[in-house]
This record gives sequence, C-alpha cells and structure tokens, in this order.
Amino acid sequence: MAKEAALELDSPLAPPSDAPRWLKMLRLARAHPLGVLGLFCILLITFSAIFADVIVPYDPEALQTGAIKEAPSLDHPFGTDRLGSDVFSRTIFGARIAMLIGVVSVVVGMALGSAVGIASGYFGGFVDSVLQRLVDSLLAFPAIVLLLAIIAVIGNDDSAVRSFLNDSTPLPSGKWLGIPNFLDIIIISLAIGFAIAVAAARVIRGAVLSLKENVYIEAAQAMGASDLRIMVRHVLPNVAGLIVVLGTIFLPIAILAEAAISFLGVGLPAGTPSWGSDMGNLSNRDDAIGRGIWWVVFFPGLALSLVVLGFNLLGDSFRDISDPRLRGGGGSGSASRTGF
Amino acid sequence: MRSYIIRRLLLLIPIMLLVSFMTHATFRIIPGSAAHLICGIGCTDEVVEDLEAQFGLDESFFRQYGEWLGVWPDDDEGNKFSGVLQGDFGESFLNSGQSVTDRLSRTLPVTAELMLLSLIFAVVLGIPPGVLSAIRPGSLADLIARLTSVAWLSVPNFYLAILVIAFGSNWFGWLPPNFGTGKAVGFFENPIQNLETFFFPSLVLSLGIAAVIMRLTRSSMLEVMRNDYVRTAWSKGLRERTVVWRHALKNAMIPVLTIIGVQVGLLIGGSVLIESVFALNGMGNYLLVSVIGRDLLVVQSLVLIFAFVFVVINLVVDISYAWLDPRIRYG
Amino acid sequence: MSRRALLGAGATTALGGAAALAVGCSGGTSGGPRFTPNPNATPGPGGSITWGRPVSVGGVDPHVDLTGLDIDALLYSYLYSWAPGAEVTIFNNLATSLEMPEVTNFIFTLRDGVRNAPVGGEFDGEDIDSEACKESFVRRGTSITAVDKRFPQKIAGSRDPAMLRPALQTPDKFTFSFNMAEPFVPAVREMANATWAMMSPGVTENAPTLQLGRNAFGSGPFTLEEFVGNERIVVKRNPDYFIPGRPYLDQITYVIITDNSSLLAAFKNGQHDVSGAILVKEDFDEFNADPSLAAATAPSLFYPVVHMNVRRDPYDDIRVREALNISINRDLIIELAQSGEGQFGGPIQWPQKQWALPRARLESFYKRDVAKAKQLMDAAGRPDGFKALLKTPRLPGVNFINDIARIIVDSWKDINVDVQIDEVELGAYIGSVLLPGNFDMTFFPNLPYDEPDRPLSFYHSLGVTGSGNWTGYTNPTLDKLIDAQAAEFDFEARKAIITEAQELILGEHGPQLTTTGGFQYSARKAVVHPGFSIDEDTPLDSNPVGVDIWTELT
Repeated sequence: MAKEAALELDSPLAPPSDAPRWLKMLRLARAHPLGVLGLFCILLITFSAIFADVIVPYDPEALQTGAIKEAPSLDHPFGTDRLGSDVFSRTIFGARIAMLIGVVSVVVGMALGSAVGIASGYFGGFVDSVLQRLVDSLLAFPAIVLLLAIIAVIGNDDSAVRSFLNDSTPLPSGKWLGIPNFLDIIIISLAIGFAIAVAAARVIRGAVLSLKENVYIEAAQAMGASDLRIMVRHVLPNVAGLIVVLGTIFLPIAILAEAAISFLGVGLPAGTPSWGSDMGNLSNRDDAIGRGIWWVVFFPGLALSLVVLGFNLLGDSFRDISDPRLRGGGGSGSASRTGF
Repeated sequence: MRSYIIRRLLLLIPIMLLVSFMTHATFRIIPGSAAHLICGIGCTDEVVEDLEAQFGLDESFFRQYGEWLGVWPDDDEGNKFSGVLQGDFGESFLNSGQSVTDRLSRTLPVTAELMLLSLIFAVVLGIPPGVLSAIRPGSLADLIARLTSVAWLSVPNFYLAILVIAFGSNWFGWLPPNFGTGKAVGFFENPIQNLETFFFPSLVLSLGIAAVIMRLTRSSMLEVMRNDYVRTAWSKGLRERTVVWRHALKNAMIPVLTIIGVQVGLLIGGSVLIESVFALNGMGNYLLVSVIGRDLLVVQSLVLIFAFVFVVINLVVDISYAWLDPRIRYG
Repeated sequence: MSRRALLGAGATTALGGAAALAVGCSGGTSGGPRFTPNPNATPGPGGSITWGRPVSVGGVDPHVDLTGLDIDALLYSYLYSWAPGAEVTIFNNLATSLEMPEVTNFIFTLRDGVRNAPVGGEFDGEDIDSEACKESFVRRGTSITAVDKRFPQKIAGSRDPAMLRPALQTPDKFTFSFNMAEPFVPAVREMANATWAMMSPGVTENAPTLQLGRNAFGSGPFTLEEFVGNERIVVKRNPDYFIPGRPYLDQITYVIITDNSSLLAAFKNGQHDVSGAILVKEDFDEFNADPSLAAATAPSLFYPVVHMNVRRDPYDDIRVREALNISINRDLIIELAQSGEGQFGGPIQWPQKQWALPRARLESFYKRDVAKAKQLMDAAGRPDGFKALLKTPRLPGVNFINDIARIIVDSWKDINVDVQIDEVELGAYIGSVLLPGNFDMTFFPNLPYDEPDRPLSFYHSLGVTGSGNWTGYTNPTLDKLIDAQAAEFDFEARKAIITEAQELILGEHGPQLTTTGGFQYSARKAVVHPGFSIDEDTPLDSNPVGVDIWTELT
C-alpha cells in the first residue's frame, strides 16, 4: 500500500543508491524540507554571529545613532530604541551572545554531565547511589531557583570562580570580541551549563547502565585495563551519539534559559545587547505595550524564536534520519525534563 | 511492585532533606540577606545585625535549619517545637511575618488552575494534529502540523504573553479582569470572570506542551501503526477510522500520558514569567520574589514543596507507565 | 508629605495622586467607559476608586515597615503635615500648634476629638492624646528600621526606651512636649513624615501581638478593610474621622501589579482610576490630550549620583575627579532619560528651591568641557585614561539607573576612561558592595528627601543620617558646616551655611558626582479630583492626605 511505502521511505533498510553524493544530499533535503528550513535559520544566525562586526551599521551600544524611538526605516531597518540605539545592530549582536552562551553552556554541561553520568553508570553501587541522590535532588529544584542560586554564588565579586576566571584565564572581564560584560556571560553560561549537566547526567547514566552488560567491557576488565581507560575507550564512544543528540536538544534550551532569566531581570546586566535583555527591558516593554513602539521587543523576540525554531527543526530531522524509530519527538521527552 | 513503590517513597525523605538543606546553606552563604533589603540604603552594620538577629540569621546553619524543620526547639528550654514536621512552614521576613501556609492557601489555587487549564489546552491542541500528522505522513497537512507545533515550541512563552497584553489593551480594549481588581476570582465564585482571567495565561503556557504532545502523539502513533496487529486489522478491511481510533490511539497514548506527568512538574516553577506578565499571584511568582528578597524560610519551604511534587509526580508517572504497559516490570 | 516621592531601595511610591487617564493611544479603542468631567460638579461624599500600585507592600506598620508608607498615611493621624514647596508645617492634623519658646523646646497643643476609628476591635474610640504621642514616639524612635537614628538620640541621649520615655512630657491630656539636648532643625520635617504615626497607648502596648503589619488600629481618614500586600489593599472610610464630612471617598482599592507595562496597560484600559505606573513625558502629553483623563507633573526628587571611593586610586586625585565630573554629558541625560525636561542638580537637588544653588551657577559649573578634562587627566599623569568598573544595583521595576549609567559611561569615552557597568542584584549590592565600601565607582539613587540635611549628610564623615560612610570621604571643615546647619533655626543664617557647604562640595568634585533631576508624572481619570494637584503647591489650608479626594462617580 502506498501508505506503507511512505512509511518506509527513509528506512535504513532501503537499498543503497549508486547516485552521486550531491544527488543523495538533494534527495535527503527534499525528503526533509523542515530540516532544511531549520538549517537555513541556523546558518543565518551563525553567519550573523560570526560576521556581526562587519554587518552591523552601528555600534550596538552606541547611543543616539538616529532619532529616538524611530520606526523601522532604510537607515534603521529595525528602528531605534529610547536611547537611539539601532535595534538591527543590537539584534545581530544578540546572535553572537546567544550563540556564545548556547555553545559554552552545552559544552560545559555535556562535559560535566557525561563525566558524572558515565562514572555513575559505570561504577554502580555506592558511587552511583550517592551521585544519583545528588542529581535527583538538583533536578527537583525549580529551574529558576537553581539558576539564580548558582549565579548568585559564582557571580559574586569575590567568588572563587570569578577570581579564577579573571586572573588565571586570558578571558577579559570587559569587552571581548565586541561583546560587553564578557565575564558575566561566561558566568551565566556556566550556571546554565551546570543545570544542563544535571539533566544530562541522568540520561547518560541510563544509557551506560544498559551498556554495562556489554561484552567488550567485561573483556577489558578481565584483561586488567584501568577503569578510566575503559570508560574513555569503550563506554564513551558508545554514548557519544547520545551526547551529541542531547547537545542539539539542549542548545536552544540554553539560549531560551538566558533569555528567560534576563527577561526576569536577573540575568545579564540591562543594556547588554542580548535578546533576552532587550525583550525584558522595562522601558522597552513599556514602549512596546503602552506606547506603540513595538519594534524594540518584536525583533529580538523574532530572532530568538528563529534560532530555537531552527535548532528544533534541524534536530528533529537529524533524529528522523539517524533513527527512524525516534521520528517526531521521542527525544524531546528527555529534553522537557529540564526546560522552562 | 509494592516494594518498589515503598522504596521510591522512602527515597523522598533524603531527597527532600538534601534539597532543603542545600537551599538553606546556599542562601546563608550568598551575599545579601533579607535584612539588607529591608533597610536598603539606610542600612548600617548595627541595623543589619539587629534585623538578622530578629530573623534568626545569626544562628548557626544547623540550628536555624533544625528550628525550621521542627527538630530543634525554638526556645531555650527545649519545649516548643514548631517546624515543618509540625506543619508550620515558617514565616516571611519581608512581609511582616506572614506565614507561608497563609500565602500558599492563596497562591496554590491560582497555580493549580493554571496547570489544569494548561494541560487541558495542551491535550486539546496537541493530540488531534498529532493524529492527523501520523495518519497522513508526508502530506501538506503533516508538514503544516509539524511546523506549527515546532513553532509553538520555539517561541518563548513570555514573548507570547507580552504580545497578548499588547494586542489586548491596544487593539481590543480588553485585559484580564484581575488587572482591575487585583485578585483572581475563584472558579466557583464567578466562572466567567475566572475563565477570562486564566484563559490567555493558560493558553500561552500550554503551547509548548501542546507541541511536545503533538510530536509524541505522532511518533507513537506511527510506531503503533506499524505493528502487525494494526496491519492485520487493515488487511481485514476495517474502516480506517476504526483502526485509528480504536487500536492505535489507545496504545499511542501511553508515552503521551507520561510526558504530561513530567511537564506538570516543570510547569510549577516555570510559570514565573507568565504569572509576572499577567499579574497572577501564583507559586512561581511567590518563589521568584522570595528568592530575590532572600526570604530564607519561605524559599526553603517552597523548594521543599516543589521537590515533593516533582518526585511524587515522577513516581506516579513511572508507576502508571508500568501499569499501562504490562511488559514493564519493576523489581 | 503629599508630594514626596519616596525612593528607598527601589520602591517608588507616588503620593498625592492627581491622575487622569487619556485614551486614544496607538490606534484602537480601549475598554471601560470614558467619562468627560462635569465642570459644574462640586465635591461631595461617596464613590470608590481603584488605584494602581507598582510595589508590593510588606506591611502597614508605620513605625516598622517602609514599603507602604503612603497607605499608612491614610490610616493614622500625625502631629502635622508638611508643605514641601513652602517648607512649612500645616497644622491640619493632630496638633493645633507648636510652640518653641527655645529652639530646643517643643511644645505641641493637641486637638480634642481625634479617636481610633471603629473597626470592631478593643481599641475603638481610644483617644489620641499626649499619652499616645509619648508612647508612639518611644515606639517609633527605638524601632530598628528607623531611618534617622539621630533624632530620638538627641532627645534623650540614648535610644533606650527606658531613657527616652522620661524625656517626653505630658503635662496634660492635650499638651505634649520634650526638650532636645541640642538644636536639631531636621526634627521639624521628620515628625511630619509618614513613619511618625501617632497610635493610641492601647495599641502601642499590645503591638507585639496585634500584627500591625497586617492590621491597623488607627485614627486616620480611612480604615484597613482588606490587606493582601502583594495583590490588593482596600481601605474604607472612617465614619468617625475628626474632620466632619470627610473623607469624601467611601473606599480606595489599591491594585498591585509589579510589572510596569501591565500596570500601564491596565490604566489605559480604564481598569484603574488612578495610574500607578511610572510614566514619561510622552504619556503625560498623550493623557492630557484626552478630555476624560488628566495628567500632572511635579519636579522629582529622584536623584542618582556617581559615588567614588576616594580611598582608592585614581579617585583620590582631585584632578581626576574633576575631569570625570565635567566630562559627564548632563545635557544628554536630560534629553534622553528625562525627555528633555530637567535641570542640573547640585549637592542639593533643584526641586528644593529654597536651598539649591542658583541654576545659572550650576549650569556654568557643570558645563561640559572635554578639552579641559583632558588637560586635567594629562596633569594627573593619565593621558591615556584608565579602565574602571561602575557597579549599579539592579532595582526591580525601574530602568532609569541603567539608562543614565550608560549615558554617563558613553560620555566618559571621550576622555579615554573606559568604564564597564556591573549590575549587581539588590540584596548582594547592599550587603557586599555598598555597606563595605567595596567599589571603585558606584551609581545609585540617593534617598530623596525634601529636607536639606539629608542630601548634605552624604558628604559627612559619619555618613547618611549618622549611619555609615561608604566612600571614605572626610572633610572636617565640611563636617562642621553640615553640623552647624542642622542646628541653625534661623532661615537666612541656615541658608548661608548651606550655600557655603555646597560651594565647598562643588570644589571637591566628589565623592559624589551629581547629575540631573527631572520630573515625575502622574495620571488619573478626569472625574477623580484630588484635593489639589501635584503640579500645584500644597495649599496652606489643605487637609491631610487623602481626605479631600472626591469623585464625580458616586
């Protein structure tokens, strides 16, 4: 039946084609139009993030680049805000900040989460018990509290983390790559990364538990390989796919998380050209809701939605392609355990 | 199964203790206390000390935690115990000693209604497109359904909330009634006004979950429809509708139900943004304000409650999963 | 009392509301009926109004809680009221007169007939007499959260209730008096503010069990009907109020919405009769263009200043301070952050017209001069400028701090001073930045107060009202001047001292760099009539706050 055939279309059981690579890619693209759309969104944002310096007509933090609260026009395609900053420039720079936060959070989170998850799953017993209790407790915290508490602890002026970052790493506390408040951004990424790690640990532990019965592991242990070696050489490669998948799920969540806490006013300092800050900024919101200056909130929000949309669409398609059984949202189940 | 349930329930205790103690320790360490916020710019060390003594913040971690929990006596003779174990969740530092239970009695119904309505909307908005998408894969309808569901998932809900307020007040001359009265009227008092108050916040909150439900419905239906017995039913010539509704849907709902359970747990703390924009006094807002205000005992109590709800819901979800799918057995 | 905008730790309380809502904003209708006021309407009893409010009220105990003072003023009686513009006392409340045979001797004559309102409690009808004043003074004077600790100290030399009580005298039921150890001019203003509520002795005695944060047993024009501090507060007319026929209103409902844009939307939508939102000039213009709304404006005492830690390098060098001071682009702050309406502020802000330095003086002193600033930086050995961190508190509900900070930082770029703004959460800010003096530069709003002693005390070695010097600045000459003005009751003499102090401060270019002050705006439906508008001076024959508000809709 036609329906059955449709179901089997992308099954890995379909006979391999001898078509040239580009034709295969094209077919893949046609079969997953949403994935292509997603990829396009992401490329657009990434391009903006990387080439922000070149693209932006004005310094995103500059005041009085034109008339204040000016509607979108040729000079200012996204209009200006109450201080005369160009919304287009701020939105493009917001992409850079968003991608930075997303990438750093996910890298930190997946690294820490994998380490804990693998160790927990591999060693089992007491270690597992303790780590799991800890992870469960942290997961039971409402996300807001967890993030706020972490930011308050590590973001404090005298905190060990901040001093370490300031003194021992080349990361500057001021502007870097045109991004203001660079250190604050890193700190927030660390906090979000920590929250991600907690969720990831649980998922990865589950995967490792099922792997443990694997013959390789027993053999390696019999041969006297050290635990560390086994974990790195045998366990890690097997969960690598899961780690990547989780990473793609968490990236948009990390970006949304920063936007949410900045919206609440407890994230990045006001005035930073991040999407969340601009959307949450009280004056911007007053202007948008009460005085008809809709563009100061609309465009950052649109950009944020595009990024998250892009990652979700792309991630969905990836999963469709790589494992048809997961088609359509099974993976999102675990992601929802963490988000807002 | 019973021993599994008992074991999980027993685990609640160390988790809740750990959670509340970590909260206590964290908030004692981080800079700034409720005392600082009360005296503000007029603070001096002396005033701060006096206030902190009043709040018990000058006691050791363990003593203050113990008093809150109800295992350490409040007075010096060792007679009066009043803490969580006795049903007293403590008092606010910032709101003239308002008891947590008192404010909870006001915020809990708001949050509960918000959750309930969000879930209803999510199910109503999520399942039909998911089913449609599954029975017509690859079609335009499928594409649209999947795109819109991901779109809902991607647009931040606080953004939608602002849009609702902006459009409502500027274009339609309408805002929820609680903006004018300051309180969200109960459902049984005035159902119409109540629904007017909760309709949009719940809708906005529900969209993300609806998207997840839609995708999950779609995938599990696809899964189920592939099963042999479904094909057998097809080959027997049963009408498509019978096949879909009677066999596939019922079985496909299993993972969907579990997802609903998980989402509820998240919603509680995650509704902060919506509550703030829609001026609803729910538990999310209560928690946020208390965290910013360093209202220690309140934060501890709320975190304890949230942890409890979260763990219990997870347990219920896991159990119902096992109950619904006989293949799963917990030892 | 009626015009003061209290800006404590981020709380903005707009008093004396005259508010009119104008509809007709960006396209479209708005909800709620629109009433054009009737020019022939006269004040009369009845009606109830809804008043929006941006800040939660922690409690309504005037002696202890600082977030609900405007409401406390409706619930309790006070010795007298204060007219901010003229800076005189108005004896429209408990006291009929104040005699000061000497500047350290205060003798109040009280009026007969001020009693606790009938709320169905055991303190109904209790007299507010001299005994009440004494007990209230003790309670308020020794309260932990009392902002100015010096005042009760100067009465008894101590804040111990046991010592304070005997120093307060009640020669008869309607005479209350006390002596101060030294003359202290700010005392007069102090006793008019909303924390000095007079409670009956029964109430003060039982205070520990009465939970006065949530209940009120007062004698003011209104009684507390419902209190949900973070949602809504309802006050009802006191039928037994000592002014016959007043208050006019039957009820005021305060609706608390912490999100300013939602608050503004509710007002524009007609759901609030008096706006609680923080408004800007655009709103003022828009609302006034609508006949069913009325908006008013008054000078704002809100003033954020840059504080420099003069113990740290390079702020101990006066040339650097001057360079920073004169390169701030104050005109731009007025233009962008104050909608073009504002004036330069000196050590005492311009709305305090009797004491502030003349406008011309300030405009010429603070005239932006980048060239001179650069010269100063060169002379100080910093031709290439330096980097610095400006710490600001994250205040809920207002954004002006950050906007103004950005304008200032932007203007310093011209002299190569590269400043990063570090926003710190409020609790952490007070605890670990401000109090320990842990900052190079910080930017936050000083507590506004329309008594000149307060803004001057920021420059005193002992700090604000005797409570702490964060910047490390000490100047014995200035200290003497500030102490002297606090003891000088003669207006001309005091003014001379204050002017001298201000000139001294100007020359120091620190430790505070003052910026500019703008206006506050309020709005209401035109059918709601306040006793007088915030853009008028308080009439000297007005009644206490809230008493004369009336509405055409009864």
